[in-house]
Amino acid sequence: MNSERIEEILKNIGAEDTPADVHKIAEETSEQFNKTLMQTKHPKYYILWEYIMKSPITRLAAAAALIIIAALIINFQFSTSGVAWGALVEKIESVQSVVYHLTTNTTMQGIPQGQTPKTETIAYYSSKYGSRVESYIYDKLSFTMYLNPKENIFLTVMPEQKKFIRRTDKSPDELKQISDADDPRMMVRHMLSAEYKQLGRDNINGIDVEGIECTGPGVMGGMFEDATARLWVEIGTDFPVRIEIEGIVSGGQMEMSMVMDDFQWNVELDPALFVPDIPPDYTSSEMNLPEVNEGTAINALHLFAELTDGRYPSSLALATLMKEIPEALVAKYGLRLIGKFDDYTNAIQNILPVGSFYAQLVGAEKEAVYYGDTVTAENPEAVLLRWKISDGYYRVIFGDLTTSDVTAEELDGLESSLLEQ
Amino acid sequence: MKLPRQAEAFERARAKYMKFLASVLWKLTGDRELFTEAMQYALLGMWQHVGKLDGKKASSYIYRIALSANSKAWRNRIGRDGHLSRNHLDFEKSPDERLDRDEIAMMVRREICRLPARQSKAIVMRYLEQHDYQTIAGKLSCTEASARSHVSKALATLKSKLATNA
Repeated sequence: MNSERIEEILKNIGAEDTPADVHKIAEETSEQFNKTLMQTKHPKYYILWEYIMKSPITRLAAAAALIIIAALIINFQFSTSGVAWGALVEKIESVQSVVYHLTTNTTMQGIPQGQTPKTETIAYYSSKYGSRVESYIYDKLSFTMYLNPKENIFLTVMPEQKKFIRRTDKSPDELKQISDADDPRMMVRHMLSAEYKQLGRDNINGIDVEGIECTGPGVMGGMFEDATARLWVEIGTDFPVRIEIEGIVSGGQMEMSMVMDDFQWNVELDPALFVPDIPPDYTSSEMNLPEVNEGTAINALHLFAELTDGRYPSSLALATLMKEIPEALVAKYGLRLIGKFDDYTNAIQNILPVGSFYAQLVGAEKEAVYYGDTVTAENPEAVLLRWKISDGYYRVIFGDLTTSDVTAEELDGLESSLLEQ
Repeated sequence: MKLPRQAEAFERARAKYMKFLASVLWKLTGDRELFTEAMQYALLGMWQHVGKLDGKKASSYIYRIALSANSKAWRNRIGRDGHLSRNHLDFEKSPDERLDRDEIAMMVRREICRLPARQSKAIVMRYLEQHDYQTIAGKLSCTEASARSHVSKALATLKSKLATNA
């Protein structure tokens, strides 16, 4: 190729006018950027977060992620050791409907207080009609989820994107489990059946209450690396008035605080609330989740490692995965991710099940231990994840994602060598 | 710079340079996805260096910001799949030749982002912005002869790179 040809090409490029739609893209990008930057002194970090959380595409992805979690949560098992608070359990069992308000606040290292997303949720549960959950991110309705096991309805409507997702691959029993998992009545039952400590009496908004507190990674069934949950019950009526959950993510880099309050127990609910409302111009989206088993868990670890050049998630808590998957995608693809809903949801769909698999192992008390904070693909013979399969025997997934069954003595040797590295 | 002042300065710079940035980044990327990403990096660069966009060398800084943003966007693309867009140029030739020219044009763009800073600035000013050498020399704070030398070296580098790629 000679210089004249290159000059000709350069001149042709230079002679191109900028198309009108490109000017529009520039303006929109600029306006969104300008609004964002007005709010922080740490633009670089904040802008990534802002773009991820505020982009219409990623709002949809965030909604999708919550739906996926709702679908995965059915597999959670809860410890049944400890003492049950019998009277309250009976009271809760008799409840036919409940409405509550959930506020979720997230704090992240390096992001100014108040600049991380705040999610508001209003949930309606009815033994007769099913459930309706409205979720708001930055005060905008992100999605409404309808779940009615009796009618086999599991549907999410996303007004901002004019989309809806209908799940048809769940049986009525599975839908019932999904519905139960997010039902505050079920949460109260679980808390009361776990080991807890008494917090004594207090007063919340003029109501005399008595509380209990549970701590540990299993409190939210594998959602967090570690969590504390507090239940406050009104003295006299014995109805819960407030549930507080604080979860740790990524070794403390992120903390999520959830408060459920404004409970209305046994309130009469309009059946129309539970009938999905889909405007005719909304389009349908597909969501296919892989099964939760060892194979899909290994595939998930493989996919994550591909994004991060051999690194694995630091923890398999679902909230940690929800934080580290988009971080890995941004690191891999840059800001281009912003327009890549499919990349985002595919990654979420295919990687999150490893969190559910781990939660199953923990819930089944199979002595599951995960070493992703130290083991990478460069440690092919190191134990990445192990769990007990029978007396004296363990299943191991190694750093190169191969598997083996080993004796307890062999596992001891493998884990000792890991500690020596 | 305090945040309100920085925001005001950014708004001024944004109003002043947006058209220029859109034009240059489109010519350098030729692809809407790349363009959007480069624009985001450019805006971030403007925010971070907004104090320099009010002075005499503002014009030079804005080129630096645009080229740096373009390089970052291209780095992400090249590192991923190397796919080159065909939607930008049309030389009204036969389909085979048009494809060839489109791909070459994208290769030229990709190689511009890898040139040394002054050479890439000079080539952008000369061919993409169609400035004369006197103007380029003024913006680069060098002599006209130096400006010609930067353009000439850039052309030679591009020729060599494209010959290798071909």
